[in-house]
Amino acid sequence: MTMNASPMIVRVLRMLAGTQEIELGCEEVTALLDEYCEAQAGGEDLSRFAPVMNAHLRLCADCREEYEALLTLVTMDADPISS
Amino acid sequence: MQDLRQWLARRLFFYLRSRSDLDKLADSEIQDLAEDFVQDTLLQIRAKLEQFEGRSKFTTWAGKIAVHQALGELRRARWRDFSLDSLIGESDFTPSFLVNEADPDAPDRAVERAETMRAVAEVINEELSERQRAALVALMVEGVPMDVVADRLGTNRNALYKLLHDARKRLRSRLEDRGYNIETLLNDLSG
Repeated sequence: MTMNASPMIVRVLRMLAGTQEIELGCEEVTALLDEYCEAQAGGEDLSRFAPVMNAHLRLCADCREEYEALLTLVTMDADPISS
Repeated sequence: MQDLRQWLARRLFFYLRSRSDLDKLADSEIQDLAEDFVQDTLLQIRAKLEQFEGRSKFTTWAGKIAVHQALGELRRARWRDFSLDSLIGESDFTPSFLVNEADPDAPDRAVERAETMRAVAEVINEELSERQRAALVALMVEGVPMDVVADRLGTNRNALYKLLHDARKRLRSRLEDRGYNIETLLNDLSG
């Protein structure tokens, strides 16, 4: 199969530019995700998570989607009477 | 548990309703979907309870499990028929315009860019395993989720991420061995 690979090569290079020698895996990111979203929702300083958390979320679409969903859940005003 | 069930079900409902891929579903269907996810989530929470360390609120921790569960199921349902087989062994990164004869009238800059593309494609084709190339193509071209690619490769998302991380490190170091700098290549090709 020969595909139009030029945009893909540029995307690969962007991924390479963001590549660190040591990165968090999905399990490590998931372990931190509740704490991270809560800190973000509370307007706390996130520097204790960055940049390793950001690097992973940029490169892993599944973890990024779960992060965005959890942040939505915890910041949502979904209770009829909020307590 | 009843409060938690309600907390999760309401929020998951509103979240699912906001997703564009589910906009054809009626509210009652989304509600059923949310309740199914919450049911599965509560079972998992019971099993994982001792893993809760109190580093976040209990509801946030439970929400994390719910989101992981719900999105995992949605991804697998949506890509149920996807197969990696056609990508394994056939994923060649050589851009199609490089397969044809070079255009003798192309400006120098276009020739240079084509040469750079060819060099990068060569490193990808030579240095990565078929599994690594197939995973890259699936993720970047087809837009398949990591979970689904991992399933097809008989592994899990965490291991797939590590496989790709190794692939990225290998590519970067091989390109640097050949005298290329990633930032310079990016500027040349995307500029």
